[in-house]
Amino acid sequence: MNNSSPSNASPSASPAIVKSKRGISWAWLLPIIAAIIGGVLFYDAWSNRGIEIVIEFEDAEGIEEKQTLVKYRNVQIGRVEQIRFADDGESIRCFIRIDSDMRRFLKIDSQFWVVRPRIGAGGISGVGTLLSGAYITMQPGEEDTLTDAFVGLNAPPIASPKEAGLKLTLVSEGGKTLSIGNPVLYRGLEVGVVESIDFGVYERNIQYGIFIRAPYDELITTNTYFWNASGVTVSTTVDGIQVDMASIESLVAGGVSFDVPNDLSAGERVLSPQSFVLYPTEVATYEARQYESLTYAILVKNSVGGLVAGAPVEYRGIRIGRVEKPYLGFYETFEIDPEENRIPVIINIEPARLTQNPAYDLEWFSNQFNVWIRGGLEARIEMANFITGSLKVSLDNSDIERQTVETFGNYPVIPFADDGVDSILNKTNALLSKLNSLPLEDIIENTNTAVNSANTAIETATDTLASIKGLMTSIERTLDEAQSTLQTIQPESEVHDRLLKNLDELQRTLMVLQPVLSDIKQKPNALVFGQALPEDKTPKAKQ
Amino acid sequence: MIHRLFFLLLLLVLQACVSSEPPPQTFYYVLEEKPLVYEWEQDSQEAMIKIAGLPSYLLQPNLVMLEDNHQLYYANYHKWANDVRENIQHVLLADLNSETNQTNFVKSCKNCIEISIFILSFYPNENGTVFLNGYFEVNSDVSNIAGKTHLQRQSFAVTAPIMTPNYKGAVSAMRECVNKLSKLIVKGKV
Repeated sequence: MNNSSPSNASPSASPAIVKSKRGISWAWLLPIIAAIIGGVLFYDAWSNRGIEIVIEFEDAEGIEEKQTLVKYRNVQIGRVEQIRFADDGESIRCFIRIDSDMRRFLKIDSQFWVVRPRIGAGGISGVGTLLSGAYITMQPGEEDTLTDAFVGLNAPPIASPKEAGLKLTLVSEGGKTLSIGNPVLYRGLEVGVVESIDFGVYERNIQYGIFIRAPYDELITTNTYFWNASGVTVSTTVDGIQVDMASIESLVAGGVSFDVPNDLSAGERVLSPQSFVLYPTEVATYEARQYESLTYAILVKNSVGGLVAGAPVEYRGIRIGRVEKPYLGFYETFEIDPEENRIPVIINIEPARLTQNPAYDLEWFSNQFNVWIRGGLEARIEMANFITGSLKVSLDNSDIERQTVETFGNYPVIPFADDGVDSILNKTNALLSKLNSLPLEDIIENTNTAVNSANTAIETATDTLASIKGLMTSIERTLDEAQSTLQTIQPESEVHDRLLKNLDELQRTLMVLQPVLSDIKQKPNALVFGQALPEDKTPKAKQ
Repeated sequence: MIHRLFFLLLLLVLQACVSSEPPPQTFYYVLEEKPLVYEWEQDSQEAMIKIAGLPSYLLQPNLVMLEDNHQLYYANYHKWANDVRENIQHVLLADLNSETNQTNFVKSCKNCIEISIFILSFYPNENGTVFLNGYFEVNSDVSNIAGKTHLQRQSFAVTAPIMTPNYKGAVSAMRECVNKLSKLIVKGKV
């Protein structure tokens, strides 16, 4: 046993060298791989989390955090992350995460707005959001600069910023107002839209911003006139009554029409934004159009009641101008001539109404009018409308030649026709001539025929009255019979007595039945089994 | 089974009818009106007699009797043969016309004296006395020169003893009361 002890071991055995094993254990491999994968996933998620932008709206109607989507052409490109108030509290800021690949659309002039149900001049829009909820949509801009902060629109943009066309301003003095979205029509075709409405406080007028889409913007020229197409125009022509209406949409919601009047040339094309007058009606583009004019005075001896500013000035029925002032102010008149007791009526002669030929300019017409005045041209105040009593100024030639053209202040004077005795005689003669030309014999013959017809009608009426008289006699007889019938049931009549007697009988019978009914009520089987009544009590005899 | 039960019930009903006792005899009464022949004077006036009011127990056919305890007893087997209102009117007319020939008392007339009689009570009592009381109105607008209606109202209360202790005796006493009333009317009117 001891032989096998350590003392017997070989003395040459060297001590064991213990080597420490250094390095990474294979057990760490799995966590490292997991960490790498996690890191890759985190980077991927971080890199794809999108771009955060801020859009400022007036309010958050229909917008919800984590819910409201951002769409472009109905494709989801982002989602609202947070909604916060702006620093001033006057608006809200929507923090929105937009897909990274949409970065190129976030230009400085891009427009965002909320799509929700709206009822406007253009109809009803956004009905689909009733079920899906409101969402934010965008219109990418044109600029190269990118940004991440935007100011949202309160309403969808009427015209796309990228859309080609022409923006104009229409100035209206009043009348039926338009709304944003109202159409702009050219001969019934919608070619543009009303974009904005402003009221010029200092100018005291309404300014509409309109947009004419290309290629219709080429229709806009210097001679283009705009008018309000909201309504129906009824006019009388040689063909009868004419009703003009732009479209049902513009009739209901309103709209603007434009065209170049027939009496004007096309004019030069408008290439840059300009202002135009918006006339209330198409007729007004002719009547109320502003022309270059020559100003004259008419010294009226008669009343000018019914003559208003804008009343027509005609030459033998052809309109050549308008009344500028139905009467010159007292002070101005007094300054010119204190002794003048006639009423100065100021009129504008507008030669452009007669011709567009540039050879016949204002100077030519001014000289020509002087010639015509010396040759006997006179002015009259005539009735323009017998129903309304409105007046007009009518020019016509006379045989009275004059050496010079009179002036009143700075105004050249067109002589006023003296409607004196001669005029009355002329009118009386004209009236007598008309009476003389009346077919009096035919009228008398027709009257005789009418009288004969009336006689026949009266005879027929007499027969009818006789029939009615017979009918009345019959009715009277019937009433007599009815009266005699009613007399038979009067209080002292036999029928009445009999009736009373029958009523008494009925009452007595009812009283007889009363104890029987009382017995049956108390004992219903009394009808079958009968009821043995006790013997009667009898009265005693008087002692 | 149902047929047998129905037959049994029918038999029971018939047996009940057969076994019930016959009721006592019913007696009917009238106020006796003696047939008289009247002779009126030529210038005699007419007067209409009208029974304007009757107590409700005289509007039914059973005779009644007032008991001591203020109860009105309706007899089951003693009935009026005629309408009591007409019966009293006829009897009264007969008595009045037999009392005087200066006035012709009739059932109805025009522009004549109208006597309306309102009977408030008319019954025998248990102790042998018949009471008749009420009032009558004489409307003599014909005799009024001024043309105005002259209305005279007079009450009456008459009694008569019942001589035999039964309803026959009571009806006789009632007849006597009507006769007394006729005398009062003649006395008050004529």
